[in-house]
Amino acid sequence: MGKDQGSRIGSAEELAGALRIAAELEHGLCCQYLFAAFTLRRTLEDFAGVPTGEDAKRHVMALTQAWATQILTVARQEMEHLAIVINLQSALGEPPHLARPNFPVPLGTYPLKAHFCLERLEGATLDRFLFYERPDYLAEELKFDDPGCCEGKALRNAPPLVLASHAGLSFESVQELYQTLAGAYSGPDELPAVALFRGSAAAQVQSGAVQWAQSVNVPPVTNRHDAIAAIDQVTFEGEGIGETPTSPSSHFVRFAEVNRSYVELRRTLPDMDPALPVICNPAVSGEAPPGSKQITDPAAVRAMGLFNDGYFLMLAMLRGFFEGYRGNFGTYPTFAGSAPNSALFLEAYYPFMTMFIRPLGELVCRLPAGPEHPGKNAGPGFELTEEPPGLQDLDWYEDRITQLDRAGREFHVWLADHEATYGPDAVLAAERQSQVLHRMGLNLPRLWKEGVLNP
Amino acid sequence: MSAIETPRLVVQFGGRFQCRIPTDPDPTWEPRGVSGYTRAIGRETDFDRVICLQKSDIPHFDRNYRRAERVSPANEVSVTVKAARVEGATGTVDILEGAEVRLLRNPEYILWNQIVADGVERLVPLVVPFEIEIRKQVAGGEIVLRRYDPLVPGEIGDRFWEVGEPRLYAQRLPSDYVHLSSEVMESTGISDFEGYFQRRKEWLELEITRTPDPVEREALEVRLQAIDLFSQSPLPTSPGLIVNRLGLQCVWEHPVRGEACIEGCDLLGGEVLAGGPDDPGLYWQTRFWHGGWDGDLLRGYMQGELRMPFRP
Repeated sequence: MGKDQGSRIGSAEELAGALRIAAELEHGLCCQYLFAAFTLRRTLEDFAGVPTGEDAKRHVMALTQAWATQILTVARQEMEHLAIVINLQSALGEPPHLARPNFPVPLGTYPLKAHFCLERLEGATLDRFLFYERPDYLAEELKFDDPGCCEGKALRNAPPLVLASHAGLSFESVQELYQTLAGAYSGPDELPAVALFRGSAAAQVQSGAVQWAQSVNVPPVTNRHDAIAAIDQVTFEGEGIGETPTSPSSHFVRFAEVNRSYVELRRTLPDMDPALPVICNPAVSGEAPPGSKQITDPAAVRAMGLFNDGYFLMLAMLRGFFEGYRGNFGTYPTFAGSAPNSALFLEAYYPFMTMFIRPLGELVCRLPAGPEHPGKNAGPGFELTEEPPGLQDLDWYEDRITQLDRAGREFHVWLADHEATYGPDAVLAAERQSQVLHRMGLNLPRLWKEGVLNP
Repeated sequence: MSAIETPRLVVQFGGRFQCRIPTDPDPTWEPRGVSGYTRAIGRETDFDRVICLQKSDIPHFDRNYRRAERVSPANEVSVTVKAARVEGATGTVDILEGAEVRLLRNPEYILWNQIVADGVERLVPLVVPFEIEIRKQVAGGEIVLRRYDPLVPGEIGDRFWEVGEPRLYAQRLPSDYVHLSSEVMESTGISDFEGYFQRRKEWLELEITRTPDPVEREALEVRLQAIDLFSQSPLPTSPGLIVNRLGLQCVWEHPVRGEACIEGCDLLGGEVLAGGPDDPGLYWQTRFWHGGWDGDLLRGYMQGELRMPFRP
């Protein structure tokens, strides 16, 4: 398998490896986009100490509001793409792949010629985002020579990570990866149906059945046609493939619009930095990879640890949800036939993504990184120290959300004791986070045992 | 005194309110709106999420009260008493007409992105805290009818994040939810939803050309873009989100059981009664709906009634 062999997938095992890469890419892109969006200055308080008039700040806030809308829309759709890849994995009889290497990921780890970095929003970050989402027909016009992560160009010459689980595949763009995947389902190199669809059709999660909101469209994959349509959807929404000119709602065009607006701002108001001074590739775990920056501020360390623990539990719940899902359970109340599955869905999606990952990620970006990094803020590291496990029993999830609830409460109490240093806004955000985690912890066993309350 | 024996003073109210709120999938405390269809714009303060029933109660009114075309019925914010009567008696209690209705203690819609009520498909928010007040200055004094309802009587009170069992406050959850309500259309006078926002867009386009202030102009442009974006239908069979919400109706119906403040009964011609949480016979009862939501102006319509034990 490889470029010299026409990027052909020759067996179900090779397809499984390619799907694991696709899952890691979608997951990794999502984290990078979220990180950049969290770093945007979006309120007047984010401009504290910036000696510019209020009208100029309000102008930048209007821009960053629009950019955040675009970037978070793309990030949400990367989660949709990850769900599509998981459906392809499930059709193949493979478990959902929700592990990924920690940031930064050196060039060459994936065949894609780019690093994976957690960087605040700036010109180089947007260049990298445009490369990730670039349609192949623009490769010559929009060349990208990855400068490495961060201002110091860290990792430019770092050796790639060796991820044995999916070595050997060759591709130069995300679009090419999906075209290679499509070749396994249809065309001269297609694999036999008996190899492609070994999994249960009832395990196919579909957006119409689970009430994903906000136009999230995850189709079931039960035959070759479904698989090709799902893959086409990913490249249509990402690179805009299938429309001429490229679809205006594609990720590529959305990032191009943000980039145009960013360049215009820096040209007209060069002193107005639209992003907080968030450090590149922040980390707190002891096994952080080379090129990451160890955060030392005690509030940031606590918040980042809480973030990482919640992120891990969210992924474990997602994996459990996908592994445990069996069939369309009919109309309201959703999941009437499977309370545990509804519990995992209702904890992982709305609360964890919208009420934990985002607000806590945004809070971390507003905390200092520590005395070793003067003038820099911390950021959410999305650090994983172990692979999210498959479906567990209630006790496993309950233990972890109880621990998270306790950690959230301790973080709030600690921050309240240090309000003079970190300010009342941070304390209020921590208090709200603590309340959210507490209520999520109370909800879990009830949802698991009884399902959705139908008022 | 039993509920059956006691006559009821029934006060009916209606009018528009304002609530500057982020919308799903933005987090509850998103300051200015990013992923939902509502935005804080220009010189407006960050979202406060408070349900304001009177214009004069809107914080930073000069910044936060959005303008619209003159003919728009949504320009006025004021929920007032439309009629009052004593159930079982003839005649009306005209003195209360025009009284201002308020929800006190800075109430918010509490859903917390599906954490608090398991509203997978439906919007089922609580209104917390809940304290309703009817107040009117009249010749000879002031009439005040005010009562608070704790979400869960006792120690928990309004701390809903400490409740693992939503059945404890099930009566405070909406009792009905209608996507396209005839009652709402009759009350708001708006039935041509597309036309309603078309007029708004035309007005915004005109205002953008008239406004010399660049911050204000940019804010108007954001409003216009949001209407355009969220008027688009996700499905051919349903209208876009912002249009769809004009027909929304969310109904609450529950007792009001906590501490009360009653003044000016002599002006009413009878005594309004209230007991404590342990005296169901003297609970007040309310049924009201919020709906007809204009996601551009961040205003909706409220209509309902408050029923109180009354001794003529």
